[in-house]
Amino acid sequence: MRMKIIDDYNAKYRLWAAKPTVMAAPAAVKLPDFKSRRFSSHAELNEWKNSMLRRLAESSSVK
Amino acid sequence: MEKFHAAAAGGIIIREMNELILAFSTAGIRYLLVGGQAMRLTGMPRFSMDWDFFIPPRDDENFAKLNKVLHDEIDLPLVPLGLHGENFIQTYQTRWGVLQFHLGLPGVPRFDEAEKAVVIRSSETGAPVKCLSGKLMLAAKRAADRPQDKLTSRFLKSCSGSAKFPKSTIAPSNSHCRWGSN
Repeated sequence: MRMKIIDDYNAKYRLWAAKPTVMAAPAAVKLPDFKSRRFSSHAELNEWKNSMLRRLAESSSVK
Repeated sequence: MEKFHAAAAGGIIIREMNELILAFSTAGIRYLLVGGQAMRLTGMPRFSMDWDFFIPPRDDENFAKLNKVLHDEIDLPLVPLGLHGENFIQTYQTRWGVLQFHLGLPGVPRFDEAEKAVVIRSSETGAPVKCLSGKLMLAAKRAADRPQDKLTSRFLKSCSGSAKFPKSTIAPSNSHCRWGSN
């Protein structure tokens, strides 16, 4: 059976690259308020970011 | 009434991210857009809540310009990289979204070198945005080696195989993949 392009998981990247389209940036979502932060490494940033995402997921007020 | 006064941008009220980036350019601020928003402008349908900017880590004049433009919006000033790597990334929640300033990027040479390979991409409103080149974005993604970066890497590799464009080129957003020469 002949493989269709939609069966190739990686095909979408080639299609996007062949005809890229700049989508409009989505409106900023309402995030829990946080103060400015300074980090010494990406690991430190990612740890904080993951905790923020957990808070966001748990928040019922986020639309 | 909004009170944001960007003196460097002629006192205009900045309501959108695109306008903030234009204000950066007007003020002569050195930056390169990186991360998910840069990928979006490359044409990959990936969305991010963050706006990541790579900036020179110890350019005092640049920090002064940035702090002037962002003065009424941020609660802590942007500061240079510390002697022991402090302040490597600085994150701010603003009306336009989360702004993250990176004073270094894994897998990417120092800012001055990356700046020479700048690729100007156009936003969805046609605003020119200085972006890290495709080749360096791929290098950063490889160095970060995060699961979510593998998809981005596949897209960038597809771009590198499709077409190459000279740096500092503004192309229509719906033309073809703009990779940059470096």
